[in-house]
Amino acid sequence: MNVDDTTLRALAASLKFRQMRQEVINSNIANAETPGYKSKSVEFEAALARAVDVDHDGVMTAEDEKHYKLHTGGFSSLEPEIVESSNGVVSDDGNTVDMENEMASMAENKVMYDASVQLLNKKLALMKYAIINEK
Amino acid sequence: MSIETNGGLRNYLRNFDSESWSKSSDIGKKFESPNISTDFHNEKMDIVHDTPKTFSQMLNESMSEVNQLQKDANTAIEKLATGKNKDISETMLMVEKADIAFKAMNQIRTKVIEAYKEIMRMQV
Amino acid sequence: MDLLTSLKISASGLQAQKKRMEAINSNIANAQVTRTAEGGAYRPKEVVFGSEPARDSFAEILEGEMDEKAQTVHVTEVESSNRPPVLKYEPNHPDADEKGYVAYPDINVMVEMANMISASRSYEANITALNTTKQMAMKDLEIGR
Repeated sequence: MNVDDTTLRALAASLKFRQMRQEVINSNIANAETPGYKSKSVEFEAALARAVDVDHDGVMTAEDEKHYKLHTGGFSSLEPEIVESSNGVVSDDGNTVDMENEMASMAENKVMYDASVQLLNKKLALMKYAIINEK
Repeated sequence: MSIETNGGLRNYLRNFDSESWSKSSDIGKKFESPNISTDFHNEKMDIVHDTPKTFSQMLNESMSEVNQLQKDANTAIEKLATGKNKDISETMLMVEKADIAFKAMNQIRTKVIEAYKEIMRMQV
Repeated sequence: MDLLTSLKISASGLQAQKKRMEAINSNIANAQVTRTAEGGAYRPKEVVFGSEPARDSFAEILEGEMDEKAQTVHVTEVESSNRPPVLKYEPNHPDADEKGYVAYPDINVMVEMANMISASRSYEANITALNTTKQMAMKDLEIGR
């Protein structure tokens, strides 16, 4: 059990990205009637999965700085993508915000955020327990 | 082979292999199909004599199991964080299992150390 | 990405919806007004929304790539609509012109009611977003507890 292991870093990164996602959802909801506004979304799961190497695709090193590294915990270079979500909803004035979609995404984001915080707490509590009970 | 049948108990004891029994981790299965038949009077029936696992071996195995549980919990958390697995309850359960196993192991360690100290205190 | 920016975005949404409600209320209240200070029938008010990046000063805009992506909304104009007034034939009305027609504002109260409901829903959605953002920040305080 490492104080700085991959899991903790993945959890911390997911917290940060979910905050970003919440901000973008706020923006979408506030601009739900602005003409010409395109609905946006934050995509971070794929990048995070690569950095964590969840599927254990093997240890591959990268020579060029810009190439993705697998499982080296390269979290510092992790950047989420903010893309225009293609939900196909276009109203007359060019606005593509789908309100129901945004509310659903917001609910899911909140639940996953809470779950991440709780898991983080559990791991930290276990570490503290091990330290305190070291007689 | 059921013990309730006539002479079943003797048959069972005759066919009992203590070595493979102590090696096996799934004791329930062993009761249903003991494999090697040995004579009732054979010395192989001496169970105490033939337990292959030492105490330290058992401890080591338990610790690697606990470690494996921790690793599995970590993997489950990573899968949840990256969206590969959306089932929160499963992840929570695995983390909780790993937690409990670790805490139990910690208690055992405490007890073992206590027992050791107790023994060292014994006056020869 | 920080709490204040997210809250500002939602707050701007709330404000914009409030302005929209004002315009709708004004339209409904004045749906039958034929005489105004500027002369002629009441001109219906309409709001136009625009969005802009969520950072105020230029120095803040330089920070981070996130800044341009999250947009606040603001009301660009509350304009008096150019919809021509509806003429009705009422020769005995004090405001009738030579031919006996009275100009009424082109306001359909049903449409305004539908707009009002829509504005109300958007307001609620913005409130939910604001509350969720606040709850996420409160949850942060529980890390390690």
